[in-house]
Amino acid sequence: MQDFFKQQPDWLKSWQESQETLTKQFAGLSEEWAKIMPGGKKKAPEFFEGWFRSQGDLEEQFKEFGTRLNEMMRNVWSNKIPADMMKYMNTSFIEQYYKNWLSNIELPGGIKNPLGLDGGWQQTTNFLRSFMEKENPLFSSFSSNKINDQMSSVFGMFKGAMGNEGSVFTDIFTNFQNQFGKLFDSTTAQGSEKLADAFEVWVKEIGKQLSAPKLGINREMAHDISQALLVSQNYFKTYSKMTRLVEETSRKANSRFQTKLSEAALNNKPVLKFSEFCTLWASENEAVFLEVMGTQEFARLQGDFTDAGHRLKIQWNKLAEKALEPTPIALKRDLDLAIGEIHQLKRDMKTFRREMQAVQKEALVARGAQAAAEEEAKNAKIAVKAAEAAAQNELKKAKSVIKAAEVAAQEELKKAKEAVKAAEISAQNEAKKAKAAEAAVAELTNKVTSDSKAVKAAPKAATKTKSKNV
Amino acid sequence: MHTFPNNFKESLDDFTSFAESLKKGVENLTSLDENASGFADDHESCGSCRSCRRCCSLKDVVFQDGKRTLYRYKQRAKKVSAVPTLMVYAMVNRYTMLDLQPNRSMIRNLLDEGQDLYIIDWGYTDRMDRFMTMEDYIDGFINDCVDVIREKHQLDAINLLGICQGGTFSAIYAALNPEKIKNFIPIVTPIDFDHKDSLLNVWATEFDADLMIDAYGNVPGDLMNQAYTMLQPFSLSINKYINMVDIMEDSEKLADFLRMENWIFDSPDQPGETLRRFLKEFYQGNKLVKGEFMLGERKVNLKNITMPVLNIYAEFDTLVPPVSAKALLAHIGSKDTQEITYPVGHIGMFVSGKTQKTLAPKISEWLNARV
Repeated sequence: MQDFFKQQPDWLKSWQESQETLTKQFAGLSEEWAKIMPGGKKKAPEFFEGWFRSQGDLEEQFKEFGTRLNEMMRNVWSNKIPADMMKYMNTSFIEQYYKNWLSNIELPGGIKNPLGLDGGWQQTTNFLRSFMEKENPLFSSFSSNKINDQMSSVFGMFKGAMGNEGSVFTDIFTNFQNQFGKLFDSTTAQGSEKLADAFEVWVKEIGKQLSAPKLGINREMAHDISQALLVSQNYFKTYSKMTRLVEETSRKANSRFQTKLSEAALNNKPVLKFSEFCTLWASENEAVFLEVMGTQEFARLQGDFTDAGHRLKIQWNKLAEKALEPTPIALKRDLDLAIGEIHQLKRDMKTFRREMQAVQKEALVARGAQAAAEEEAKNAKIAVKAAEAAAQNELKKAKSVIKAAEVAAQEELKKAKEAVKAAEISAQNEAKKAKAAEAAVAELTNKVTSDSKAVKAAPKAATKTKSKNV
Repeated sequence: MHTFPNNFKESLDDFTSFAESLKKGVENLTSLDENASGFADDHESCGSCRSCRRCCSLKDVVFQDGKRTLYRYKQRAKKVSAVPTLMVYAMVNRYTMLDLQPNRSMIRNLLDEGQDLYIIDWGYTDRMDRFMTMEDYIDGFINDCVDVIREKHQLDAINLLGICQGGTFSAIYAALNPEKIKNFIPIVTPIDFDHKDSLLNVWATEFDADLMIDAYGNVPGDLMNQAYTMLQPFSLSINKYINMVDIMEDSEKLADFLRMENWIFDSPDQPGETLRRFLKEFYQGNKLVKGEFMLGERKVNLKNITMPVLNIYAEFDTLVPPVSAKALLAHIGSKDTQEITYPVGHIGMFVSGKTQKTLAPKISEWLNARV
């Protein structure tokens, strides 16, 4: 790739030199033309031929640039970006832009470039077609190349599967495929419409043959081909309607673009830069197209077109299945059935796994609860045992306390008895003492009595002295 | 018009410089060092992103179910919120948009604010996902993730942040499981589908979704991209690449551009049955707002969303116009609600300079007040 790349600067340099030479040549011829036009002088036809050739050379020169650029892009980018993206990177549109840009040149004296009158931007339908029908299918739900590929493979399978019998249909297949090829190669809406009409006529003709097939022809196959013809007919019709719409819209868009270009030139702001030129073209086209594409009518047509394409694809799928039926190759419907079943099994398994997880979770919770209960019971037993031991202990303690209390009580009783006895003795002693005291008192009383008598007998003075002594 | 010869010469000079820019851009591209293109030193390959092959912020796998993975981002702040947040991105495109590069990362900004972030990676849909339903995704994986996080953090409820289609899924989940969601943050989330403010809503009413799913099974991501490109067909498929020439000379800007392009085209296919219901019951039937949407055997009543809600939407969103996102608050039962809007588009909400500095702090502040 490096070698490839090293060549590019040299190539670009020589391209630029050549471009300069051709431009000078073109400029010289144009100046000459400009000089002769006002006076209406006639020039030899060779001069005009030379002028046209000169512009043609410039176009060719740029076509080479476009091709080379595409080659460069693919060489350099293809290993860096996905294939899906690569197909959008078609720089051939730069060539289209250049061609149209060149055709847009106005000669001195306000003379229109003759090559711009019937070419250039009037060819936008072609430009759009490249997007519509090839690998970048605007307004198409799948590319025409894929339709062609699918047709080829289905017809190929039929021929292979049916052996000699298949040859009966060979002409139909060939014609069928050719008509699709022509449709995708048509460059104008009018061309597509004519092809749709022609296809309709052909379908009627073939339809007669297929509805009353010759002896020996596979009737089921004839029926399937008839169905394919009918859906193809619808595809042709909607395709041509779509190309008509695209063509008319692009014409409208082109006219709007030309008006904008003229306005810019009149306002002394001519669009000179290549990228500005391209941007203006794209934005003006987009505005017009989006206006159309936003309508319900467009949506309906696009819906019809894509539905027709899908019906066609479904029909090709069915035919392919039919062709493969006698072979040991697994059919799409069998695979779909198997995938469906596998998927349902997976889904069931998932549900089952979920249920199992829920049950496991519940079991886990129950097991936990059981373990906790067991632990609790165990603990309770231990507690009971401990409580019993404690109770025994307490009982024992109580008993010993009672015994001690009894002993103490006995002791206290004994003590009390002894105390009582002692008290009794003491009382008796006291009583004895009291008696003795009583006796002493009595004795004393007696003595007092006798003494008082004696006193009575003593003189008063002696009484006073006695009182003081007492 | 170019007036000959002066303007023509000027134009040609401009074109020559355009060609030179292209040349320089190609040079830049060949020498672009992916390891030095703006990523911080601490990034590592997580293997989950098909195209960018790496993420900006570090994360660990927490839970997996088939292709679907729940990640937890490694914390970057010292103080981390006690209530984690589960982020649910859309199934259309990849969640890597939220973590594109260090200076464009809503994830990194929220981590720096101390949020504890989990994210769902839906993976890349393949044929085996053909029959995956909304029940599988919402009642299945989102619910599993919420439970895993609740258990891990020993919490009854966590925060839920849903983006775009992931926001719609999250709203359904929050309505069915309000006890598990502490705070709900929908960002650019479509709720009301009955309007004409987006071309998608106009187109969706006129085509047969059953036919599309029957034809494709899983709907190719490429097809979804084409539908989105159609919303601005010329800007997104042509002009973007012309303008790219202007930035190709700057290797840093070129790397930014490529990163974004990688994200845009990193589009997983859409699981058929889920998309069928999404198109028929939301885009065509508007059943969520009407209160008619059933998930499994349960009716989804948005009034059950009673937790605090912070509704964030973009003013210039062409995919989920404001009218669709704003409708949420009118249909829920929560009394604690708030709205934040930004003058940006759908993707700009996550990558534009306007939101980088303020979006994460606002979300964080709101959450922290409701821990």
